Amino acid sequence: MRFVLRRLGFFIVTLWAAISLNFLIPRLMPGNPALAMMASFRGRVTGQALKALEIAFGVKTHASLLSQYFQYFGNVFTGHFGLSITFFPQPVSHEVLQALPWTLGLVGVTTVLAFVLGTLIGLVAGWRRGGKLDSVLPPVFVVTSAFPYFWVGLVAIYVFALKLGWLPVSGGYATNDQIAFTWHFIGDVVRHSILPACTLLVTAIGGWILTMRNTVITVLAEDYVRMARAKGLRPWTVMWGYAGRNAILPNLTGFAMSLGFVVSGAILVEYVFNYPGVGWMLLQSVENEDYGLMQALFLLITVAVLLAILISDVLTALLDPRTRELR
Amino acid sequence: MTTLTATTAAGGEAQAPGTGQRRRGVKFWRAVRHNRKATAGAVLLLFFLVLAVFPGQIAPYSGTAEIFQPGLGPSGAHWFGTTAYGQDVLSQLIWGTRQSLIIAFAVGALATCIAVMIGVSAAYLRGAWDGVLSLITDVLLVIPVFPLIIVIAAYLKSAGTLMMIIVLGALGWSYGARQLRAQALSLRDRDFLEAARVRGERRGYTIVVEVLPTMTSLIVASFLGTAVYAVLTAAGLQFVGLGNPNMQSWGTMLYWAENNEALGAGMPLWALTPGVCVALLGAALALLNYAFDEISNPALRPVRARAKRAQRLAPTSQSPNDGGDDQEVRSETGTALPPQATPGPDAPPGRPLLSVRQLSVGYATGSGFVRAVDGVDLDLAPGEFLAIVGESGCGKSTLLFALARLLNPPATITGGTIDFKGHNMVDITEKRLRYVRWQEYSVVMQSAMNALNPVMTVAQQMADVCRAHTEMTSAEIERRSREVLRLVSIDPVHLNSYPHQLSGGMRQRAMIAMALLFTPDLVIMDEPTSALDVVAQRSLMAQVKELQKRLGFAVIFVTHDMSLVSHFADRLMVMYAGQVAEIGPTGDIFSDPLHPYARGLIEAFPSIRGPKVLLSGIPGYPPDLVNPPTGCRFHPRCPWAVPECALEQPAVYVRGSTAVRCSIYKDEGKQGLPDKGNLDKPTSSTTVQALAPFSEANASRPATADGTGGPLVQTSALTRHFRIGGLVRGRTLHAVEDLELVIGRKEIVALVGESGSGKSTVARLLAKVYPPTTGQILFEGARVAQLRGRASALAYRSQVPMVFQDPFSSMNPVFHVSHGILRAMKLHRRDLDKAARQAEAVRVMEAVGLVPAQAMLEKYPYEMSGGQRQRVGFAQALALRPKLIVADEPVSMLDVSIRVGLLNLMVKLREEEGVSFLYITHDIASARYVADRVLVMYAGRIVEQGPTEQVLADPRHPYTKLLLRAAPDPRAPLDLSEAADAGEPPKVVDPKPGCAFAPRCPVAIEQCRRITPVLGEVAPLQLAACHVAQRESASLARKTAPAGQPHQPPSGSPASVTSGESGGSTPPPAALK
Repeated sequence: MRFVLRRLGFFIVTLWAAISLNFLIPRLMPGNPALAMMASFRGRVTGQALKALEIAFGVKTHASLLSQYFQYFGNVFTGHFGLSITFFPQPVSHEVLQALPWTLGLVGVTTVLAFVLGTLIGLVAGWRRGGKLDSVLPPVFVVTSAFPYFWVGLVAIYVFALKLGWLPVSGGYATNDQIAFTWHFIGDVVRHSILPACTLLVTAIGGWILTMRNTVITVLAEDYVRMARAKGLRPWTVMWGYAGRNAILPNLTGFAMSLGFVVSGAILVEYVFNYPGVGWMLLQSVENEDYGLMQALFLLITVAVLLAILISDVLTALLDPRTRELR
Repeated sequence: MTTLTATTAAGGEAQAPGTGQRRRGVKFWRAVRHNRKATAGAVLLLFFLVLAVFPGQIAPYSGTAEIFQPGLGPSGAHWFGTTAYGQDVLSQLIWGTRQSLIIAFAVGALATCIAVMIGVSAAYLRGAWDGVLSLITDVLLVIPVFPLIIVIAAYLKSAGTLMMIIVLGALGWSYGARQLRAQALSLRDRDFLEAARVRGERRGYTIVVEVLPTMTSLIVASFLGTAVYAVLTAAGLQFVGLGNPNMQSWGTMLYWAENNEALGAGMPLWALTPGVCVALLGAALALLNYAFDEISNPALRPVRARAKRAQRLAPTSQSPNDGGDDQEVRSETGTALPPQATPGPDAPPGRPLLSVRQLSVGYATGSGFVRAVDGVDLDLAPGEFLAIVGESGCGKSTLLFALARLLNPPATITGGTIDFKGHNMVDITEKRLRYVRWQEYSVVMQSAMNALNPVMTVAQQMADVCRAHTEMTSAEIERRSREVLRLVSIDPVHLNSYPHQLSGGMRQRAMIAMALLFTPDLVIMDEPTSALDVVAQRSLMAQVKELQKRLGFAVIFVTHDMSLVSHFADRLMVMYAGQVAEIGPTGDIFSDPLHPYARGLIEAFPSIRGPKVLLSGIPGYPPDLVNPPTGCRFHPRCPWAVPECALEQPAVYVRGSTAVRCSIYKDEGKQGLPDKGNLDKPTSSTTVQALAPFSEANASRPATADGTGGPLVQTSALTRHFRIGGLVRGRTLHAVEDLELVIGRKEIVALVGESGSGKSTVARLLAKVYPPTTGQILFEGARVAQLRGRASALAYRSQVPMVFQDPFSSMNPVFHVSHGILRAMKLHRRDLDKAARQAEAVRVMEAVGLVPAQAMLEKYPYEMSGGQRQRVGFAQALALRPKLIVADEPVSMLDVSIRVGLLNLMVKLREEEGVSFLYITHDIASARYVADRVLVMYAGRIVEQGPTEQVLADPRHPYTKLLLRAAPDPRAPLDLSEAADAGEPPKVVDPKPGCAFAPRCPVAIEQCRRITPVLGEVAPLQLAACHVAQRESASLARKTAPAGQPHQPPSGSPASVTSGESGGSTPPPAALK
């Protein structure tokens, strides 16, 4: 339990760091372009929304930095990020929450899928050391894991959407659709998500396969695996209960640590496919100099990644009795 | 060394993983050339490098000039067509290479520099700094960096190359820093860094010269990893328009392609070609990185190549000496080992349980094919206890794993048969083998910590084997599990414990319990006691023997410690260099060994009883099995060897119930080894020289024999505590408590204790690795803590060097062995010039018996055997002209045949160089062999001390008695009542008053649980910290007071023991010597 509590403490520290970064960046930047943006708001926006933006970008210079800092924290936790320019006059928080389900559905599902599939394939590849699977996969995936996500996306669009015409080029759903829970709409969403999902899957899975394969090979040299063989257990039991159970632990830690990297790829994939998720919205806000929206999105992404890490920590604690004590 | 034997046993690489790591530096470039991934990566990278350096010469046109018709398709003039603005795509690609490479290398270098600085300083600053730096690293690692960079870039409007490098570098170091910190932390515990400290090196020197070179591979990996990340991220940023749109780069090309809707416009090459370039550069770096991983971690190398090499090498090395001879020996052994000759003396005639004929096991290594087991014959009767003994690398563990069919690749059985209860174990099918396993034979491994699955409870690990072999219900399984745990004296409540929750002894017992689940006919044990302390070792052995007698299973027990099995084994098999040297009834071999090697092994063990004799050990070192010696493999080390021994392989001859492989017995009349006295062959120079001082019987020589007055070193109330656990619930480990220690000039003092007793902390306090919490060290009367300034601290260090326990980690793998010796002189003997230092280095190498000294100095540590390396440790110490050498378990990791040589070396150095020794050991017999006085330590305190012979002959403290009883001794009677778990020493965390030994003490009284006993005199010159012993001696003294021995206070020794802050009931101002 102490392990999870400790990780929770780390979660809070990291969150604090991210919020503080958000607060500091506009103030540290030369010329603070956010001020120019604020000018365009004057007169159009009043009340609490304006105040929130002023606090976010340090316009209210008469308040001390410290009090701005505390006010900013208060606004963050109550969801007051001001209004968005891109989607004027919608509040930032509203827009952000609209984009979230799309990203969770696409990136969340494919990331977990890539991890699970990659781990399984890696387990089998490491277990059958030197087998067909093992001699083909590592070199292939070393190369594919270095491919830029967005470029794989471009190739996929060119081949499957433009040349073959099997799947839609971009977007989360057809523009003439009504957003509703109808079979037609759901089918459309799935059809639109196939290409971006496959792009993410193909580029992300290689890393998981490789790391899992390597840890499995290391674990196979351990005495307890030899012991399991000596006990006359079925190969299946040895592979899962002994090699797999132990090899997945470092892999899970690796998963938590590289989530940030996966997210960066996902942002670009959303951009390439014009997929209406958080990443696409982030780049939209950059283009429109919508700094309020941009910073709220950054916080949201951070929180999402941190939550995912926390979940994988809890999983680690469940799988590894050693982490449950002391440390 | 446990890891070493484990790996060698595993039949993996010929040497330990550590050795592989050491070779890495030397053979690195060769490895790179042989690695296909590395070659591919390097060629690709080189290609891009050329493009980046000479774009003007290579590119057909300028990359920026808008001089052609826009949107041309591919043609001879424009291979990849032209852009929407009329530029040549190919030329743009070539010109764009430069920017990507600059970003890759600059970010890689910047991030790696930051990572090295943060990672290494976190590991070395420890404490709060480490906490803060690690936290920053981890926070930066999990914050999604790419969105953060986007946010920053958005504020900067467009980022130029420099800005991009700074931002990417400043945010991209965390992964590398984390890895480097972990590596630096693991290095910090390596002895060669402590050695540098003891030598008196400055911290900066240590980090730059000693630490960084050993981390090269990780630093390179970090560089390549960050470079890949930089290439991809920069391209991504430029692609979404956050770079400078006028820059010549692949990312910018992608940006314009996207802006001009390349795909929709039917110009896919605009987007595809720069993407391919990014992917190829990324792949080149990733391939190099991955190949690097493979090179530095041999386990990951492709297994196919190794298997092929093994097949290629195996036939050629079938008979390393000469083919015909080999054949001849085979036929002879066949006749020489008639079935009736082999079963144990008490075994019923009949079918043996296990019958092995001509078994050979081999594996390929980088340097050749190793025949780890070579033509072994063996019969085991039902219910027999057979011990296989030999030094590390003799093939005993490989043989055992071959018998159990547990060899790990690349090791394979290359010939011979194994018949176990009628099963042909060599050709048995997987399915059948699985059935035989555990039901008919089970295995107990060396280290239960590694052999038990760390993520499953004991109960789960028992249940899965029950389910695999039987139809038992859960209730039946639990009942049986409880039963077997009780068999090995473990409380069944531990059934639901995880392995890490059990103590070392309990884990080993739990594994034995598991092996007995189905009461198999044979239990195969691989050094099951070697990880345990003496007391636990003894009780476990007794337990095994008791169970074996009761349940009637046969045992094959592999060990390097011959005396351990002396009265447990029915028969003994002595292995040397992969072959059976001698096999026969244990008693016969101990009383009258036939093989010179067996004789040498027996004579290598100091005894704790009887007259003290000079031991010679066995000269030389075990052979390299890639190129074993011709003829008899033992002949280079054999005092009886004659010239013929080098020519022909000896056959196996039978004398009584014993079979021996030695040509002496060719002569039918020879019944035993001729007397060694008749041989004029010298053993080794060291032992001969050591003879002289030994004959003087220095049993209880006065500590200040040379009359210079005053002890050399004296400590008063020396105490060292360590804080353990987190910041919130910190606890204190009392490693050393109130230590009063006196070492005289030219004296060898032994400090004996089990692991965790605090004896190594004493060594480190004396060597000033860390300061004491409280208390004083007086060196020649001066307070060591008050030696202010670097100069006087250095002066002390040069007087008191240290020899470390583990010769595999006490030398920096990247330097020649001369490094430590020369550095020590450079620091401490400023008067010597370079030539004089070199000459002195040769002298000390010769003094420790490493000849030819010059050649030895130029070896790398991995090129030396453990015994040789430990001699280098002594040479380093000697180079300082010290007065006291602190030797922390200097022989515990060495093979028995080599240990004696080093013990003799200590005696010799005392005589010739006038050095005193603090000899720290867990082996009481070796303490008796070398030491004038002995101190017994338990749970951080000295519990008994006095002249060695006197303490060993008449121990007063119950713990000393326990230790002596547990020490393996072939002459001691066998007592199976010790089978119960004798307990293990406690960790002294936040202790309460009272004797720490009381919970295990058979004679403890009520007082013992309340008041901490302090040292008091229990006999002349002998002190014990025990209420009971002090009472007994007091009452004895009252009775015999008038006629008591005249007890002289020692002259010139000012030492007196004061009680310190502890219990303080008995004031014992007793004279120390």
